[in-house]
Amino acid sequence: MSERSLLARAVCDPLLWAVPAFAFFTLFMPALAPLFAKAFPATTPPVYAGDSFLALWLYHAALVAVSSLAATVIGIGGGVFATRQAGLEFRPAIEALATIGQSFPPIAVLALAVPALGYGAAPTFVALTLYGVLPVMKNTIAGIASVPAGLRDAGTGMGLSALQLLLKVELPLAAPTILAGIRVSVMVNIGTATIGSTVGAVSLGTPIIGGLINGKIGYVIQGAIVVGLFAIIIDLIFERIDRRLRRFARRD
Amino acid sequence: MTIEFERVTKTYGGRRAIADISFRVERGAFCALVGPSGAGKSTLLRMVNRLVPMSEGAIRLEGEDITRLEPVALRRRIGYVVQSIGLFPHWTIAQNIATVPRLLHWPETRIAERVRELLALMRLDPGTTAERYPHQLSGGQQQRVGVARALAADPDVLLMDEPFGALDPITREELRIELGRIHQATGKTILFVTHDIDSALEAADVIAILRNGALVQFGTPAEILARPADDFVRDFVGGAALGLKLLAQRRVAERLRPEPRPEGTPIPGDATLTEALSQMVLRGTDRLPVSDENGRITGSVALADMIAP
Repeated sequence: MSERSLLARAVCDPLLWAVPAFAFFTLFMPALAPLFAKAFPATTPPVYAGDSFLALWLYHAALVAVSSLAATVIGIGGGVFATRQAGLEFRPAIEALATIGQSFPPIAVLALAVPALGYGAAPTFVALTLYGVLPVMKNTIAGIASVPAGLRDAGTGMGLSALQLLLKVELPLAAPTILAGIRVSVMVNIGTATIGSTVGAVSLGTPIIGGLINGKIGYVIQGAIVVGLFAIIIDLIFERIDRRLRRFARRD
Repeated sequence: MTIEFERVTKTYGGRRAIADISFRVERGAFCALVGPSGAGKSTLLRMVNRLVPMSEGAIRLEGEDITRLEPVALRRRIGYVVQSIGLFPHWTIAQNIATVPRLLHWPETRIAERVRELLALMRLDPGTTAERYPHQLSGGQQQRVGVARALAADPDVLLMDEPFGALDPITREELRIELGRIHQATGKTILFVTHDIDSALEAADVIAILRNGALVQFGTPAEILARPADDFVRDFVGGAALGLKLLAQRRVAERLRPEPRPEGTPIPGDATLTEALSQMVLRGTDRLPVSDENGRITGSVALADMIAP
């Protein structure tokens, strides 16, 4: 591979642009005050002046990370259970639940969590986790089910125990599908965490929701830029992991 | 290792899929399990490594009842090759072959050495093959790897479930010959499921013919051809060509007469009687000179002697 094509590839890599842009808006939003003052003269101060955007992002990221991690653990665990001998009879029920759950809008899940848990980060965390479990579980089941029966037969016949078959064959082969589920779960959670601000969770949604309520469109745009770039970066990272997982199938 | 089936029975919801099967495969023998589809060949094979639990009866490996052994440990001692090949697509060829040695915690250096050895045995180039992934190989090469993987931990018994069934006829024939060579070289006891009676007649030491879950005949190819147990076996093994197949099982040397010694190109004593018959037809004669391995004329073979039972 020539140096030039390496360079070209680096320049074309969207991560290379998204990360600095994200860092700039997160750290130096106040520097854009003159620009926002010109666009929205009625808004004072022109840039959201509550928590810094860095702090908002950290709250947001923590909320998404913890809920997505919980969702991934529960989702993979449930999916593995549903594909084991002992769990097979639960599989239709689990799959139906996942499908119904996903047709629920996230905001409804959030609204239902508030009466049970009150305002703040707690209902948002619960809603994000519950909602995030579904795509992970569904994809775990689909990924494991797509492992050819002949492969399972050969593995068992050679003396892999059920656990070894799961860890060495089923999960690695299902990994790209499971990852796609986690990706959906995380992306939805990044968006839903924004709405979490309606029930009192501090996140990048705080300036957006506040701006909408008070008619300060500048704040909405500022929050949206940061959360949008954050989502793009996470999605690009998932794409990269996905490519790495499928590496064996690409060689020829 | 000897394999002994004693009154083996498998019932699925009251229906007997395998009914009261008993036979014994000697150590180092190549035993073909043949029969039409649905006869229970694969089920019987899969009982040996306990992928299918038996309902009644016993299977013994070298006298040891397999139900006394832990299934996972038992399977690691038995090579297993399936029609779907079943190579792990996310592992390299070397990793695939190393499956059982890794499960048995062999040291890495010994594993690497064994992988090289097996690639060479299966006539695969270790340099270009070891680090490739299964999908980069042809079907025939993949099944060579499948056989290598089954042989990896040097099991005494090899179970093969229509291993070459999905390959094209030329590759299948090639691998069958290869397997014969490996069987000769390693002395493994092989159980080989096939619905192709001709390859069984050619390759196997003993054949078990199954029909509707029952054993209809067990014996050497020559025994089965000479004395088919019933009309089903007669039709199954040869039908109209039965006599010719029987000739293919016998050697010229078995029907040799020292005198007379006619003129002409001799036929070697280890040629089959089918080849001798073919030569007679081509030459328009009923008697051929026969030579030994050094090309010396040792006598002759006559049509009348060939057709004697």
